[in-house]
Amino acid sequence: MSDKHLKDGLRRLPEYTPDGRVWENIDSELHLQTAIEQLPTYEPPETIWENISTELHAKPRVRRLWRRVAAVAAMFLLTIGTYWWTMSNDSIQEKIIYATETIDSGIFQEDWNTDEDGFQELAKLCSQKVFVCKQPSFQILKGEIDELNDAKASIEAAMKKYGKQAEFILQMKDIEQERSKVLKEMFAMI
Amino acid sequence: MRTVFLFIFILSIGVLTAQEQRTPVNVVTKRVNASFSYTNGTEVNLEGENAQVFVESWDKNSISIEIELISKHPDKAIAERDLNRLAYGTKRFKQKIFIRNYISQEEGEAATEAVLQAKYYIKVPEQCPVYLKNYFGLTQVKNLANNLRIYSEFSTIAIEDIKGIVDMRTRFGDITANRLNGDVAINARRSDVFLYEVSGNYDIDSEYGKLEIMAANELINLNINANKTDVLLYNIDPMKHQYALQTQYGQMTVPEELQYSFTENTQQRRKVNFVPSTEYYANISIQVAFGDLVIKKK
Repeated sequence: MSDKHLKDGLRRLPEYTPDGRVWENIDSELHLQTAIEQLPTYEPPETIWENISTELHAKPRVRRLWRRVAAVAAMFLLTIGTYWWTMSNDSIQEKIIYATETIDSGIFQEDWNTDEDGFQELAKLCSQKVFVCKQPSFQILKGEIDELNDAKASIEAAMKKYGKQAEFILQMKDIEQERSKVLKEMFAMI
Repeated sequence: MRTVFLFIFILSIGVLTAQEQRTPVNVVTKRVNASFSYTNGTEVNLEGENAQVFVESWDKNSISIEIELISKHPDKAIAERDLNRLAYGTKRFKQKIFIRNYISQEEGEAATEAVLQAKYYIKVPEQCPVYLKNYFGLTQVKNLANNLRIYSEFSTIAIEDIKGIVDMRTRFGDITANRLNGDVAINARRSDVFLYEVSGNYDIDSEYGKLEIMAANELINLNINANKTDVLLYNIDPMKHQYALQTQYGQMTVPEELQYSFTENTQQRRKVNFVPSTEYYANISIQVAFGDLVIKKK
C-alpha cells in the first residue's frame, strides 16, 4: 500500500530539463577519463625505488647540518682567498741612495739660551713681590710662560733627536719672540 | 789710517766667512716604495715624527706610499749609522694601513749626530679615509672626498680641495686650507688658521692665534669660539646670513648694513644679533674673547 502511494507521488512530481552546459561538462569529463585510460604505462627501473627508499630513510637534521658546514666553509675560503689576494697585491721595496750637498752651518748656532737670566731675574723679583705675582692677571701670563717653556723644551728635544735643522730654529724663533713679549708684560706688572 | 781700513776689511771678510760657512755633507737616503690594494673602507693611518707628509688622490684603486728617510752628516759613516736609527713601519691590519717613523736608539748608544728627516709621498683613491698625526714637520693634503683627520703639533698643515668630514687639531702649527667643503671641525692652539673659499658647516675653536676666513657662497653654518684670537671673516653678503656675534674686551667691525643690529655695545662687550627678513643662507655665530672681530662684505 505504501509502495503504491510512493510511486504515485513520484509520478506526480514536476519534470525539469537540465541546462545544456551541464551535459557539455559531463561530456568533457568522460573524454578526459578515456584519454587517461589510453595513456601508455611504464615500469620504473629498480634504482629509482632504491633511491626513494634511501631518501625516505635519510636523517634530515644531519643533511641540514652539512649544508651549514659547507656554507661556513665556503665563506671561510672566500674570506681567506680575498685576504690572500689583497695581501699578495701589497708590496714593499727598499733602496739606499747616496749624494752630497752643502749646508750653511755657520748660522746654526744654539744662541737661544743666552738671555735666560732675564727669566731668572723675574723669579727673583716674584720672591720679593709676592702679592703682585699672585694676582690672577699675572698668573695667566705665568701660565703662558710655562706653556712656552714646555714648547721650547719640546723643540730642544726634537733637535737632539733629529739634529739642528732650519725648521726647528724658525720655530724656536717664534717661541722665543713670544716668550720675550710675555716676559716684558710680566716685568711691566711688577 | 790705511792700516785701520785694512784691519776693518780683514775683519769684515772674517765675519762674512764665518756667517756664510758652507759645509759639504753626505746625504744618505733610504727610499721605500710600498703599495697596498684598496677596497672600500681601507684607511691610511700615519704617525710621523719630524716628517714632511704629502698626500693626494689619484684615479687608481690602490694606495702608493713612498717614504724617504734622510740622514745628513759630513762623515758618511756617521750618516749611515744614524740613518739606521731612523726606523719606519708599514703594516696592514685588516682595513687599516699603518705607517710610522721613529728614532730607534738603544740605551748607552752614542747620541745622534746626523740631521735626520722623513718624507712621505702618499697617493690614495679619493674616497680613502686618511688619518695623519705629525709631531714637527709639515703636512700637505690635496683632493680627498671622504674623511680626513689631522692631529699635529709644531707642524704646518696645508690642505686644498677637500670634501667630506674634516677634523683638524693643531698646537703650535698653522693651518692653511683652500676650497674646503663639508663638515669641518678645527681646534687650533697657538696657531694661525687661514681658510679660503669655504663651504659647508664649520665648528672652530681657536686660542692664541689668528683666524682668517674667506667665505664661499655655499657656506651653511659657521660657529667660531675664539679666545685671545683675532678673527677676520670676509667675502660675505651681509644681508643674506643670520648673525650672532659677540666680542669681549675686543673691537667689533661689521659692514654698515649690520650697524643697527647691536644689542649691546660697551667697552667690555659688543653683541650683534641679526636675522634677515628674507630667506637666508648661513648661520654665523662668532664669539671672541680678548680679540678683535672684523667682518667684511664682498
